[in-house]
Amino acid sequence: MSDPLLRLRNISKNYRETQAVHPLDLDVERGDFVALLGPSGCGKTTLLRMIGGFLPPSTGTIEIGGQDVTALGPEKRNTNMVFQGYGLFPHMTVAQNIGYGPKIAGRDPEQIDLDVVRMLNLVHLGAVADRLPAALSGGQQQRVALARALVMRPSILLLDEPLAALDLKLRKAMQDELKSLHRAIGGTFIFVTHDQGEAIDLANRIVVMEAGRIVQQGTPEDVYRRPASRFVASFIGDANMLSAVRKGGEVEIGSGRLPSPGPDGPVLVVIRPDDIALAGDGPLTLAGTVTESRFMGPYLRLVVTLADGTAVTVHRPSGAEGAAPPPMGSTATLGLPAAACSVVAP
Amino acid sequence: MSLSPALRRGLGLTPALTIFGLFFALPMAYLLVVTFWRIKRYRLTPDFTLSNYADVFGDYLHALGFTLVIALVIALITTALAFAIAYLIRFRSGLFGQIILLSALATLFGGYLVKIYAWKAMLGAQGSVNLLLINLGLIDEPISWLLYSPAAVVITLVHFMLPFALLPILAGLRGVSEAPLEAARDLGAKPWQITRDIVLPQCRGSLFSAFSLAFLIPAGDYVTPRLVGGPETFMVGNFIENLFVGRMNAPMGAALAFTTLLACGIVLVTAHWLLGRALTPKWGR
Amino acid sequence: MAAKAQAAWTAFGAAVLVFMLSPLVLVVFFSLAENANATFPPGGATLHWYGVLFDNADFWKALGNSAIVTLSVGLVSMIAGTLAAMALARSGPKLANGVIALITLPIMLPPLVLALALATGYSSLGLPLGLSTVIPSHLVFTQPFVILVVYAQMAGFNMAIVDSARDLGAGSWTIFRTVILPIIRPTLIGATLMAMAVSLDDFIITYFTIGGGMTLPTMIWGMLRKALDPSINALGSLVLVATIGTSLIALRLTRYRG
Repeated sequence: MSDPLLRLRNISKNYRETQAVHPLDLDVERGDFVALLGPSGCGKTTLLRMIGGFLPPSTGTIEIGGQDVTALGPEKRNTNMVFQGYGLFPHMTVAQNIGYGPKIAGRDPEQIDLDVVRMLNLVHLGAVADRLPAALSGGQQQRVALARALVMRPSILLLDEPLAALDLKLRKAMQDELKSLHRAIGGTFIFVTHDQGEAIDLANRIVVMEAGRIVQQGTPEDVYRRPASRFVASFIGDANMLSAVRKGGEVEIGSGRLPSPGPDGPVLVVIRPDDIALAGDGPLTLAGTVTESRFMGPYLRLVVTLADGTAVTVHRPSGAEGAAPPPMGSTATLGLPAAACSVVAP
Repeated sequence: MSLSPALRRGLGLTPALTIFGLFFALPMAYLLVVTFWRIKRYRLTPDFTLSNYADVFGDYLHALGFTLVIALVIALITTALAFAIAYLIRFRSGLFGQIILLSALATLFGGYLVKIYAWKAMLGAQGSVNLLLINLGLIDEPISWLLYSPAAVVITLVHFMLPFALLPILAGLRGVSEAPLEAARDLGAKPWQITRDIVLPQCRGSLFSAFSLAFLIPAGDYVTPRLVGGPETFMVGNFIENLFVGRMNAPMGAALAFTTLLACGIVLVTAHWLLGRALTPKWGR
Repeated sequence: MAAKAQAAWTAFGAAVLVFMLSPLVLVVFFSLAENANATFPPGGATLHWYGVLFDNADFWKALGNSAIVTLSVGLVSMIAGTLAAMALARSGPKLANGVIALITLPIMLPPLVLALALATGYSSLGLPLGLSTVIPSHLVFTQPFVILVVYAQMAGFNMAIVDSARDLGAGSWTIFRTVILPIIRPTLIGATLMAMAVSLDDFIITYFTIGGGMTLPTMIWGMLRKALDPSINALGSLVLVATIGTSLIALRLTRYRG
């Protein structure tokens, strides 16, 4: 395997007393679409700005393509950023905004015009090339910001909450556009988001951050199916967390046991509502009473209360053929596929 | 009492507009009319003659040109200095910036005459500037041309206009948000390129306001050249004042005043055009 | 490199501060120094020149005139300026900007032109020159300050407050008295003080419209034209303290930061 495109080693950032980012390592491969995901204040934007060269790290080194860029400012790095709120130049037209970087780079004027036109076509903005940013819709401004960064052919494109300012419908459309852009130009994208749905939809790798630390990284499926901590499980998607006890490398849950290496003591078993079967007959089952049943559109949301009072949420496709949902008050036996269960510290 | 909103707005504006009309618009219009009149036996006599303007062009063109050049020098120095100070306050912050801002605001409205005569005292042969330069070992004997020279007029008026120029530029700089500056840096622009391409164009309007003020007020000033300019530095203001007060020739003084205003207007329109040209992006079609 | 640049900026800031303040500081310094020539060495500290000034009957006359002019101008500017600003805040931004551009014209032009226009106008109407001609002449360039400052606050005024007062049954005058005025009072006083500082300091317009009388600035002018009178530094310092003091209070009240 070749060297990673971006290599962070022992990177940290502190402001006086507060440690915004604790020392961490991170590798990003060429062609990756990485999401830095976490709640506000988790240090994800600080980390992105250090990668972009806007903030000098307190410790550690940053390498891009094998070259140490730690001491270089953003103007000397082959990274470009799409800013939160876009940061468009308000006094320049769309075309001038896009042409600014190539002009600074000293590309020749004819080449600049070609680059600008190519970018305008790429982001479908040819019709508004001569307008000022204030005359554009939010989605159009977003695309100008993208084009302005992409025209520099960055080795890494950094995006700071790129879709946060857009309304829901537009956000979905822009997600698709970002994905197809990434496919079309084949670059390496790193974006910051607090929206887990956006991260899962866009990224092929998710880096989850909490309080200045990376708490888990992996494919969206990894992070979703096998959360490494209670925080990750609750931050990404809905999760049931069942208290249990580990003893001798096994966790006792319901009717059975889960193999789980680790020290003895209380643990949490995490399982997603859509992974739970309603008529369980496997080795791991839980018995309880249906106390809630709600139609949610694409799925039914059932709450089954166990004997010890724990409420377990189960999602069931609403269009599923077969038996009607169990009525309220009826008893239900829930089946937990062992592969879908994760054991985390409480 | 229920008045229509439009009527109520009109009533609210009435006192201010009356003051403006009676004590600005009317006297200025009257002064413009007077430029076409003449003096007969020491009395203003209605007429319609262009001879006052002809005399202005005959006798005062040189003074007018000299005044415009001095005012232009003052305006350029003041605007550049004010921009640098505003830049310091806005981007380098620090204690000095805040102290400078407070000093500028506090001295904005006060001490026109006091400032001029303070400079008169400071720039003289025995003045503190020469004393300081001698004590620093930079010069051996006092520089004589510091006072009673065009340089003294420039220094004094730059000092007087600086707070007036600083405030609009600072307001303009505060309107420049952070993200476009970072975006420019991200695209490879160096600090001076960011200043030229992103900062300056965005505060074009306030730069021009500052420049206009720092140009117009000095162009019409007569007190500063009188007190620190010496016998050689006669600006248009001195001639206008002399025509009104010394020679009792209001029509010609007024003609000179309006010619000066017109010339200033032309300079400002040109400056505006040049500024616009210099600060308009030249790429992207 | 960054440290070097920072040091250069600091040096520049210090130089600017010295340039801006040293003339004013020196005037106050020499008003308290024995040396009658106002040159170095200054000699010992003394209040002598203030004594000389206070023994001068002209000073008290000029002070009285300045007080009358400044207070009347402040009062009328406040009323006319506030009424105009409130009216402008209720109109569209286009009209408001147009009116403001027009009404601030007198502070953009060289004062000499306005002074001569006013003097010529008064004399052609045969009006006797005096404080009654000085006061309206000042208003035309002091009211723009009140209008600008009060309008700036009114433009950002949360109109929901006014709407809720109306919703609770208050009439226009009650809303102004009980809701708007208490909120804008500091700004109003601050703006008025600015107008007063401008009026107190004015020399050119006063000089051409006062006729024979005297205010503090025209008294300074008179002293400058006569043989050296060392009490001019004392007079200058008093004018400086008055205008700068007024400005500082105004800045504090309006929270104006440039």
